[in-house]
Amino acid sequence: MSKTISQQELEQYLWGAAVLLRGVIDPGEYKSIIFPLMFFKRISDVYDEEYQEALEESDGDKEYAEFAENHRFQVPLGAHWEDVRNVSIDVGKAIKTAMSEIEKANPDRLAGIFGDTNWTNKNRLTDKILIDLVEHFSTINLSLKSVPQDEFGTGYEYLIKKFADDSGHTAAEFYTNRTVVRLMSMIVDPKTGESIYDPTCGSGGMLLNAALLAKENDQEYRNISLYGQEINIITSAIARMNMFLHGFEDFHIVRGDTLSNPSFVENDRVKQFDMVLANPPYSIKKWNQKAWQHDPWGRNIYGTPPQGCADYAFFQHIISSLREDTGRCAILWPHGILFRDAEFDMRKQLIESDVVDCVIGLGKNLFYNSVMESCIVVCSKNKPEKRKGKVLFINGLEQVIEEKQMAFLSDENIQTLYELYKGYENVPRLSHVASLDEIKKKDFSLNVPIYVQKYELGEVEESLEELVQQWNKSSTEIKQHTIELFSTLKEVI
Amino acid sequence: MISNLSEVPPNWIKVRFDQIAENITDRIEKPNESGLEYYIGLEHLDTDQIRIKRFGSTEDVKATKFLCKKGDIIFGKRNAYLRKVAVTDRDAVVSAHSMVIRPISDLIVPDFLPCFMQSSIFWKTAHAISEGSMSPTIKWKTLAKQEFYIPSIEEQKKVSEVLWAIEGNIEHIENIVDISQNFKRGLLNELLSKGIGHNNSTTIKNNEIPINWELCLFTDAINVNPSRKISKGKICKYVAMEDVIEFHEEICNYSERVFKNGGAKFTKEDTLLARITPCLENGKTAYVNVLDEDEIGFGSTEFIVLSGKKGVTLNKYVYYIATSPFFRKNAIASMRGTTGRQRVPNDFFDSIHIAIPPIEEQKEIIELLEKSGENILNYKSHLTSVINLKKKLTDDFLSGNLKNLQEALQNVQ
Repeated sequence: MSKTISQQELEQYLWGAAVLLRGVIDPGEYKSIIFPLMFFKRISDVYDEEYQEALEESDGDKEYAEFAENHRFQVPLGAHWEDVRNVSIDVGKAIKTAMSEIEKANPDRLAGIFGDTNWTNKNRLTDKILIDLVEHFSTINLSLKSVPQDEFGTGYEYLIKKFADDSGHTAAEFYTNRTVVRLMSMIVDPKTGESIYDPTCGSGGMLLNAALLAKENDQEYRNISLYGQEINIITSAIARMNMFLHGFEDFHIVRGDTLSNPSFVENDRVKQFDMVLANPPYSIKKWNQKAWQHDPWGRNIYGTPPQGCADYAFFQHIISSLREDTGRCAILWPHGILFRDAEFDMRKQLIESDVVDCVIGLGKNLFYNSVMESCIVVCSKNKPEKRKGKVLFINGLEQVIEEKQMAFLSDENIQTLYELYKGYENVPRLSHVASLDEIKKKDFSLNVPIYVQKYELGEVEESLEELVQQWNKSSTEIKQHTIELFSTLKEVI
Repeated sequence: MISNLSEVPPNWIKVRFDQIAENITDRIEKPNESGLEYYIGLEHLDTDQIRIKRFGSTEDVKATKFLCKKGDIIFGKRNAYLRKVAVTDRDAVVSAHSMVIRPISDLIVPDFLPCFMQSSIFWKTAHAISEGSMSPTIKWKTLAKQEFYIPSIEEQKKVSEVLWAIEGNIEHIENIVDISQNFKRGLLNELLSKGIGHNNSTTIKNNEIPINWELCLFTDAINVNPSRKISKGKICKYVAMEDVIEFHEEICNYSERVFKNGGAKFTKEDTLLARITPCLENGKTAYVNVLDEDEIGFGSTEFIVLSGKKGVTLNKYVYYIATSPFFRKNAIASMRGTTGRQRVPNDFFDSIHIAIPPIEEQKEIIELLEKSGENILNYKSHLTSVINLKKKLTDDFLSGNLKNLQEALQNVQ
């Protein structure tokens, strides 16, 4: 009988696998080895657990215990973790075969989930390393009883974060600072039965975060549908595993290039969702600008972005993916999109179409391994009456806590920013509600400091009259005191 | 971008910044060989200060820098939120993190430009156009095309005349503060060695002291590290070395900590004397003002605690002794230990003699010194009020809020 293991044990265990790979392969590639193996082990252990339960239920009927209905996922004969564990030569080949058998046995849900890792390259992954890894993973039973889904999901998130820390640059593509994601989720406020979409979903963290926020708010969260597209094969596989491990079943994560080949389309246009959360890859240069000019899905509503920077292509894709009645989004961007000249015309139209609801300027270092300053842009296709024709600007610069090379928002910071968003008022140095007219006068720049003062200007509060009075009074007093002092001195010296 | 005014007064004109100013970029390749003596780095510019009071030396400056001429405006383009803009009173070498700005054209009175650049209208724009995240910096190209409203030449003349007159006043008061601080130091020295109104003195062990004073061993007149007890685990006020400012009587800050074992323990009206290099030399000595009656606090192990001996010395008098040039000179000379970690040894206090007046005279001396201290505080607060006045006038003039200059100034004489 397995016992529940602690979160910390689980984290140590997961990280232990990474330690085995240190120095052998590049940290950026750990994920393509560890995640599939771990998921493979999990599937095998859950299978065993279900088998055991069915066996007890049927008083020892082995055939019944093997029935497909008794299992979430099918593990075909010879494709079990223990089968692989028994192999000592050509371990990579055994792993590859087992994974591919499992994918084939669960075509609807697990096709391609183990990714395209090259398990059989012995120069890279020797039998010894693979045996060590398999043995390491074998030390803990990853059944549902031992590691409930929630905890496994958290442990998994931990590993994703650790990888992000460890691999630095390459991690940006699959990890967005969780504290910022939380704020974004709070702003879009997911409700039961709604759909959330992330066009560049990475490991799916934003989707999960938003859905779990609904859970935290005591809403039925399992019927929130999650949609994500991710260009990187292993990252998109991780996203799918991530969903399963968190106990979500209604999700659609697909691999592919969102700009050139959006996967979610309906009636000749991109599918529309209640919410979009996104942290698009910033300023990518390799994209098909030409195709965008004649986008078959009609997403080029505001124009064609420059070749050197696809940001506004993602922006328009996102706006196109919002439902007309409920559609709202929160996007994490680098600061440049707020004021760059090259995108002036598109920005102007975006603003004039009155979908921009709020711009939150955040500080630097919130992106992994980049000091770049970031901002959150919140848009809404159907703004509430009082927000129509206006944009709320929030200066979040001082809400960002910086530690070494990393920055984050504390719970208090998140709350402050959220309340500023909700409050929709002018607060000195913190927020400003600008009319579209005002923005037009500022050349359609959305740069937060133009609207909200970032720093103290050292302005004096008192009125001029008061100050003159003070001056006169203190002049008189000084005269008196000096006279007094010197008369006393005369007496004594 | 145009710096909008709520209402543009009549006769005001809209200008691009490069219509009224130019950016001088005369390079100096090797400052240390330039023959120029002074260097102005960002560290020499103070927030909101239009005059430069400190200069560096070109000796240590090697990389390429800019050249400025007397009367040029030095503008800290890096981290502009620090509001560093000042006029140089001499030719110098300038940090490349600054812009050297020179007023041009017949649209502007030269004296007016620095005043304008001190206004919040200008700073608002400066902040908005700063680029970059690590150290936001302003590019000349961007600044050049900013548009501002400025008053007519006539008004500019009046405005700069008034503002520079107030600036002159500020300078004057700063001088008075310096003078009165020196005066207090001199007075302290005089009173602590000659007392009040003595005509007769006597010589004991080569020391000339007033006739009714006593020459005693330091430790006979003053308690050194008097016994103060704190029980382990108690939460007490804690004063760290950085909480004491050079030549400043009050403790400016403290924290609360659990008392474990070590540290200097003290009570209200004790004197804390830094015993270690360079804190002692820098004049870190404080009079404990942050504790209640019977409350005991503790602090850095590098403090020596001094207190008055009942019937012999008053606490405040002890503080004055600890800050007197005579005592400080001897204490610094007694320091022992490796360079950089030199400390005043405990036996120093057993070897030095000090002259102590009767309690009554101590009281009178204290009273006089306090009065002189109050006087300095008065000057300082006066200084603050004049600085605020100038700031307010600058902002009001340049935001067009003061329609009638004469009216506004009739009270300011």
